[in-house]
Amino acid sequence: MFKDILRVVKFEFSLHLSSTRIWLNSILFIAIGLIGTFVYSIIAREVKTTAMQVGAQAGGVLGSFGVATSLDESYKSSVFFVVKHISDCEVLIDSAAACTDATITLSACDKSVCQLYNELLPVPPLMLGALWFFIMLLPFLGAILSFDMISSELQHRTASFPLLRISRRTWYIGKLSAHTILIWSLTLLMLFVIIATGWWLLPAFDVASAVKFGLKTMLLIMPFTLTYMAVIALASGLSKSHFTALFTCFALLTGLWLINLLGNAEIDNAFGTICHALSYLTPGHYEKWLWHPGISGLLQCMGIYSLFALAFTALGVLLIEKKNI
Amino acid sequence: MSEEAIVFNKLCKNYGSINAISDITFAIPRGAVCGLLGPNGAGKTTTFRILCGYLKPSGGSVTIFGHKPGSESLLHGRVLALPQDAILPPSTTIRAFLAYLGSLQGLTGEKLTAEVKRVLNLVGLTEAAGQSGKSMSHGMARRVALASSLLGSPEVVLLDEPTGGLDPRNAQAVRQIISALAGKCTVVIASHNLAEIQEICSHVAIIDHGKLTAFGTVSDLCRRGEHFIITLGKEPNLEKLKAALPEATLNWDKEKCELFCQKSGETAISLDELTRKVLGELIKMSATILGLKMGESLEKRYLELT
Repeated sequence: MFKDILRVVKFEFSLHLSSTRIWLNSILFIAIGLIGTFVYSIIAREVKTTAMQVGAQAGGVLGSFGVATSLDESYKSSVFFVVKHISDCEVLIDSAAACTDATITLSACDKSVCQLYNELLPVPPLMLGALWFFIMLLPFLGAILSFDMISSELQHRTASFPLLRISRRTWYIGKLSAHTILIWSLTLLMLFVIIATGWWLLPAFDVASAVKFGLKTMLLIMPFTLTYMAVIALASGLSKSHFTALFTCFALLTGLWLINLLGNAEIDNAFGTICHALSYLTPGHYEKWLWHPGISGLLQCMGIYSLFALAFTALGVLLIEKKNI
Repeated sequence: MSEEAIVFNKLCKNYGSINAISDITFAIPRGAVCGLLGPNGAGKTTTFRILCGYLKPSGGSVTIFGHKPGSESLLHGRVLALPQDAILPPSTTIRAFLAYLGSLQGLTGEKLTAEVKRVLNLVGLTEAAGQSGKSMSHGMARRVALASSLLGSPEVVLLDEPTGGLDPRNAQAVRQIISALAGKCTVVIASHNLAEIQEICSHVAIIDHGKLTAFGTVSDLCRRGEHFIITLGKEPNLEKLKAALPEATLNWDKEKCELFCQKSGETAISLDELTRKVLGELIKMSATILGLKMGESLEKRYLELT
């Protein structure tokens, strides 16, 4: 079975590489990376320059130094605020200073917040933005690229050829794997563009930290991408027409997103309770885990998304095996 | 080893409240070339697709070598098909596509390359091997699909309208390929081309309104062992002929200029011997013999049965 999956993946790649769609998508991913980084660099430079000018006008060199320090402090506060906000547990400390204050006894939750704060602080903000961007938009970029991965083969009956030779399960997993690797590769390409452009445009860009965080991001994104590609494959396998497949993909992704949104909103009625319970079954509920610190955080996150990927893939296989094609 | 390759047992398929096929029961022997005939909407394609494993039956069963199609890996690569309306992948060469399919059947290396070459040669597409699916005409695409159904050593080949859309030369080539498969593997052909089915098939199943109306060998169905028809240039002296051939019952069809011949009730003479005798008498009478048909045409029987 594994060999056949590899054969399907190889053939899918050859199909993609000889189609214009993949090249257009590569351009789209590169363009998003380039434009995003470019816009960020302009904003960052303008904010710093304006603040420094104001500082210099008010207090000369000392004023500029003061502004620079205050910008650093304000960034630290922002990172701490975000880290505290995305924490799953009850955080008792209210500033980053508490993380280094030996007189304060930290709870387990505080310790984990401080660990994440210390982990994220040296990372260029651009890279944090990139991870946030991937979490938000990768499912939809995946849907645009792969909404018809199954439906197109069913509509044109091209699937008739391989399905006389291998099982539907093997074929389905092969196609899903190929599309996941493709999206993951495009994300890697985008990340490379972001790091290269950041290095070129941002004077204080720490390449070593960016690459280190980039590697972690790619590891995190792997099961995350697989999960959403499994959702997209499931939606694609439900229909035999392009339009319906596209609609189903977006409906399913939006549905999952809405359940999570409503589940996290504090709605005090039966509907809110149901949404809250259902939100545990949506991958979006565990997005905060992508920010968990350390190796254990990385493994936890990869584990939960691998489970989701497995569940959605199993559901997709079940449906395709029952389907009249 | 069972003598039957494909066994239909009360096979049914419903689409909602519509019965596409119901209670289909027959068995195709190993090595037979079986034509699946029927009017449009009779249920041929549904039967064909169930055989391929693309559709699940609503009731009853069909087995190929004792296994259910589509669900058991034991049939993968042993049962190949030419689906009627499957589109080739547009952006890959036919050589690469066939190599991919061959690799899924377990062929590798030089064996795979040689096999792809062989089937491309068989369907006359050796020179087009580098072309992609989107640059192919309908006829060429059909031949590629046919080539895919001959890859490796399939034990059952299912062909849906194998000569549909092909020019006469290519259609003839395809008929020759199918004829060559007889005895080596079991072939099922769904078609509307009755002359073609009569030419290349050993067995025929006729489906009408989702039900099996006839199944048997082409000889039995066309009553080849019962009578023969001689087409003549003009009406012979029938009285003289009847007097010379007391063992034959002869009838003249003025409109078609055909002499219908069959054995008289008690005679022990074989039909072949009788044919020789009748032809001999006609030659003696200097009659112009335009043709000889053993039994009835499949077309006539088909029209009677549907």
